[in-house]
Amino acid sequence: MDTKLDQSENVPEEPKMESSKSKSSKRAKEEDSYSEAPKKKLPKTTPSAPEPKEIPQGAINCLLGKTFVFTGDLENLTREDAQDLVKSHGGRVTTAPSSRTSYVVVGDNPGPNKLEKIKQHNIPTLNEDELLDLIRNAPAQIETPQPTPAKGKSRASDDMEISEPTPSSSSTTPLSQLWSDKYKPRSLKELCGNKSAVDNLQKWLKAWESNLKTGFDFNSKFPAVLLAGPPGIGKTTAAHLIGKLEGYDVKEFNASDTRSKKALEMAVKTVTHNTSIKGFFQPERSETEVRKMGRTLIIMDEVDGMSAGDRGGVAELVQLIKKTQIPIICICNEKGKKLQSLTNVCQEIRFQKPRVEQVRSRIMTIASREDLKFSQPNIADEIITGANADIRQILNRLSSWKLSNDSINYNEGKALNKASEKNVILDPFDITSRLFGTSIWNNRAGNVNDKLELYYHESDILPLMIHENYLKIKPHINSNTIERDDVNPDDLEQIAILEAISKAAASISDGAMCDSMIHGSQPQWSLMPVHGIFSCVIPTYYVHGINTSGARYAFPSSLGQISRTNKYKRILREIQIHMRLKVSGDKNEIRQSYLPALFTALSQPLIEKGSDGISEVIKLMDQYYLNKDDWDAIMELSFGGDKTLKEIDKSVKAAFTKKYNSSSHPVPFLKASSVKSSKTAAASVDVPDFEDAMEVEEVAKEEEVVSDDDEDLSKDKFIKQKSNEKSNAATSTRRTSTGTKTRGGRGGGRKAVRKIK
Amino acid sequence: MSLWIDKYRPTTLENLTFNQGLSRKLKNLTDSDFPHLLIFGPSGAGKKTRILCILKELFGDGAEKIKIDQRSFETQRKKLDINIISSKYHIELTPSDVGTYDKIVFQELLTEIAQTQQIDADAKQRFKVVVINEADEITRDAQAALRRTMEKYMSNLRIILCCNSTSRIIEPIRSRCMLIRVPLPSIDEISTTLQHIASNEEIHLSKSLADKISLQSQRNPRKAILTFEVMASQKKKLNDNVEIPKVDWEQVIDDIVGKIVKTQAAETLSTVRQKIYELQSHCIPPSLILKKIALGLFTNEDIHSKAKFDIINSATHYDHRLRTGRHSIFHIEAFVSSAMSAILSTKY
Repeated sequence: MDTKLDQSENVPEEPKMESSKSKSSKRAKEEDSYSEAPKKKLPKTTPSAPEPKEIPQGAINCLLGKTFVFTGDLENLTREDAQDLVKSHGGRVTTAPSSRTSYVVVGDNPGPNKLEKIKQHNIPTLNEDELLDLIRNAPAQIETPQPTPAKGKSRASDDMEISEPTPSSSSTTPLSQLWSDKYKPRSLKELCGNKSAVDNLQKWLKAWESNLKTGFDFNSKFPAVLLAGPPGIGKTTAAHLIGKLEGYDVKEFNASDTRSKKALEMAVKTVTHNTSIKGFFQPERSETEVRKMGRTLIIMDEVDGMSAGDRGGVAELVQLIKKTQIPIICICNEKGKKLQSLTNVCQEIRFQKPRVEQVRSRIMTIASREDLKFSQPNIADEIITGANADIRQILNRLSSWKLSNDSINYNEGKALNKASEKNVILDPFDITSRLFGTSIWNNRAGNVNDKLELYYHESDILPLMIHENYLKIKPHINSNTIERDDVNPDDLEQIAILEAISKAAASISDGAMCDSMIHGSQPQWSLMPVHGIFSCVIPTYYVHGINTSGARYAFPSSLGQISRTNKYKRILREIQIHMRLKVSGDKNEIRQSYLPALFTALSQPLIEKGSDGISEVIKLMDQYYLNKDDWDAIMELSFGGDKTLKEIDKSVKAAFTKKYNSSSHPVPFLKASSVKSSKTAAASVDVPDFEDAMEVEEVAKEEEVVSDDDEDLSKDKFIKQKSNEKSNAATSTRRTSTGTKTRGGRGGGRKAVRKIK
Repeated sequence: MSLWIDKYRPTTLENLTFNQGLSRKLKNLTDSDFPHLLIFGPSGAGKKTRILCILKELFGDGAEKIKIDQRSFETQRKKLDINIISSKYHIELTPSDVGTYDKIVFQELLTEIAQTQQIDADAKQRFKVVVINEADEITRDAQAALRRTMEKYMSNLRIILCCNSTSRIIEPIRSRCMLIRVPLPSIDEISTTLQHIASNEEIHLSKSLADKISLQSQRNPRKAILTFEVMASQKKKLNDNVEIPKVDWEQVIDDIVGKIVKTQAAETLSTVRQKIYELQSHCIPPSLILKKIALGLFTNEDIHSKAKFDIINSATHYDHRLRTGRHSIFHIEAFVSSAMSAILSTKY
């Protein structure tokens, strides 16, 4: 390796061929055991942490016309950096080596297939140092000498096809028009990509007239089409072009028009029932053209924007399409649930974003028209990929660049992309799968901060997502981490996996501690990075790999559990407060000790004795001031309660509900205002709450003695009065209370039946 | 017909079966100047029963006649309801019912009570008693609100705090109270009580079975009596070989322990997680779940003793976290996974 370096430094060209040949043969030898390759290399060259090498700034376009392929990990540069380096010097980078490849840059752990190819085509190989030397030493080249033949040809032919933009006064008044309007395609040929989609659209419009006569079946013949695809790829343009081409008068509605049900009705009615008069004023038309000219085409642009304000808009549109007399083209970006009804009545045509090659030539032409110089041919590619092939976006970017510069080089192009890059908020599912995926944990894939960055996208939900899903992952384990020789490898892997999971769980627990500090009584938001590291980064560091469950990552179920827990807590508190007059235990005691006992005591008689057990159960319930809702709650709160409920005979259960509701029961208290009146009402009921009645009366009597000036007296007086007037007041309240109860009871009975089902 | 536990509940200090020395002390207290009390001890030991007995001793039969009221408080954000159990002489609160708003209960309600005098001129005592339940669940802020009230209104008010452990009661409050620990009775004592009940209910209960029930209930008399009643209602004949039924949630925990001992893998942890969710949503406190799982593993004979050391170690660690951290499931799961890891690595 060292000798090779020396050689390449002295004479860059010839010996390299030789050395790379010998190297490739060496590589070939190592192929079966290439994992050992780095180890072998280690003592010779650099240790594990290599000194950063200086990145050379080579002459301009020194690599022009040369094609590079990368394989394996380079020592210092990441794959991306290296590719950028090559590209910024005018070189091309492809993914697979072929006979046209000038160099293959080989790093550690190269792909065996690529090595095979290299051998086949006898391609010279470089290592990292050699690549850097090449850049340092290669002479500068003048621009545009030798683009690859195929590329040059296609561009030439494309150039010819593009029609002149109307008045080519671009240089004089640079901003009179947006570039995207100025260079709008004026014929079908100028549309970039989506040829088949455009053809389909044209076919549909051509067949429309005849289909109208035979009638639309909404199966293969539709009165409308729905164009769907990402923005900036020419959907609207295509629709307009084809409409014009087929001789229609195009009327466009877009999101800037009101499109509520009513407005749509009004606007469209006028169009659909009228005839365009344009045709009559243009003489010398053939008969068919006149017939066509009388017709209108509606383009409903941005239909996915028909929401909130445009209430009923989509439904109206569907109605409209069903009875339309003219063709309708709907355009949307994404067809979501909202447009479900629309897709049923429309033929769907998908627009894909065009490939880089399809856009490249057009961008280049426009750039040359506008006197924007690309210093390297591959800049266009970079800008196109950077803008996600959104042609409108590309033109906008370039036009703003043109305002201050006349040329653009590779790095500037990259910077331009970076500057206009949208800050995408990732959704939690994406982040979760990214963190659990292996690629992010690759040595070169970025540092801890990059991973922490992901946490900030969804700092609330992400820790829960990680916890929910980390058990589904089969961790990628290096079984050498545990040193034990007394265990066989399979078991060792088991131990290692469990250890990783346990470490991840421990870290999640640490994260929860941070969480409680952040959201505690004294919020400490400065702990957020720590929380992120503990709750997301460390767990996924230990557990990442393949998702074994096969399913998507699940939304945290703990959230649902919380609401469920709160519901049961509320129920339990209710039971406890009802039982409180009899039982001293707190909520937990009620749940842990009383409920199991009550559960059997309240269900067993119904199962064993059937309807004869009912009165026994009701007696017990009255004893503890439990009502029918509490009975249901106790069944629900106990494990195996649903099973027991099934054992109780349906008719017994119905009889139980009926009997319970037909009689009156003691209540420990009623809410807020009605406390006293209901107590006396309950007191007057004869058998079950006799005790209670006594109590109230006694209390009342005892309190009569109390001195007058105390504020509590008003209450006591109230009670006393009530008990005096018991005969009339109480009976009336009682009547009403039983009335409500039976009403509730019917509902309860229904509920019980439903449960049995 | 109430459950036996309530049927045979003692109502005077003299009748209390367990901890008779303590009962005598309490009786002496009621005769002299009565202090603030902090009564603590494991659940089921008879704290509440003792408090009721004390109240009866202090005020006579009137203290037994209780009623429930509901009071509403308005805070800036929401309306709170709290249930108050009261007799003429005392009032009983569970401030932890309103969660973190418990401070308001003390600030508003307690001061209101403290500022009024005993209304019954014939009452034996000049002070009223406020019983505060679940005192260890009260937030620190609320405890701080309590401390001054305790001194300022000493002439009108005595407070009895009731809790399981004093560790979460702040020092100033502990120093203002007389601490009384109510320990669990011995197995013999419980067995005697059980047999007493059995003879009254005309059921035959042998001493050995009574011992067995007491042992299984971990010396918790409440649980023992309830378990006994369940057994009695299910099977008429109670011989020595009858299996003592475990309560529903304990069965679930046994199931979890069994799963952990059987296979230690990520899948087990997933199913265990579901079970823990179930337990939690059915109102079993997280720390109890952790404790029961830890003890279940600790007493399991299939686990190597070396692993048991690690298990108890991590159980204490995560029990502390349950108290301080959020998301209890995270901590319990971390405990289970570390226990699994310990078991697996000692297996070979």
